[in-house]
Amino acid sequence: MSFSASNAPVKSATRAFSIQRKSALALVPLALFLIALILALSGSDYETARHYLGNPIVSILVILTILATVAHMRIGMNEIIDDYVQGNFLHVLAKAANFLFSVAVGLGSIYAALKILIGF
Amino acid sequence: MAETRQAERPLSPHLQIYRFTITMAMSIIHRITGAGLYVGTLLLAAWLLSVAMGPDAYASFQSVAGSWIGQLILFGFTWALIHHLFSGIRYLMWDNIRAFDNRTADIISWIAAVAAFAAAIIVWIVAFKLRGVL
Repeated sequence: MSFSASNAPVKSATRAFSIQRKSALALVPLALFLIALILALSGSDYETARHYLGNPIVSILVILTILATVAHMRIGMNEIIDDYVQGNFLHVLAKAANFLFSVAVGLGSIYAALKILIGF
Repeated sequence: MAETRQAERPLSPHLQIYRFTITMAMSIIHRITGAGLYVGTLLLAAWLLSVAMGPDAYASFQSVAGSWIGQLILFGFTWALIHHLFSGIRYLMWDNIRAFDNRTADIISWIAAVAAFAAAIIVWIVAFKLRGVL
């Protein structure tokens, strides 16, 4: 990745702008779905939770929510880092940490969703 | 040895210089809730993983989530998610040059803030009703 003097990635800025808005648009219905799902399963027992989350449609929606969220949160946090984290080393480190965190949360969640769905 | 100090640059006025506006406050809260939700994705991952791992892990998750501190954090998560959602819809509107004059921008910002708080409360009332607590 190439960096400008301020360390902001120059080539990918327009792409990030675009992905941020597309993922936001996708997350409007997906966030509402997520709230409804959490609401339906709040305080429910294990069997009920597993039954709901094992439904293919629910599972696909959960995975889509995770994908859109990971894309959206990474770009959002990069923006915060651009604004507040100064110094070449810290800046690159913060962005790398952001990337790793986003990917880890995404992979962990998708692994769980697939495990519930398929049961490996 | 030559001085390598950077040239003094003029600073733009910072937060305390400006008059309070609702759009400014919402911008700040949008960023804070975004950062909060960033960390909050760990809760979502933990919830899904606990279901995937089995009844014991799920029971552990439920006992933490059901404690008063867990409930407080979950309420904060709910509010932050709904607030970021409603607040974010304004940005999508503004991207498309809708509701863009000062007065309308202020109005939809107040609506987003109040509606998000009300919706978070309603979601929790419904959740408690479903669980038979209320």
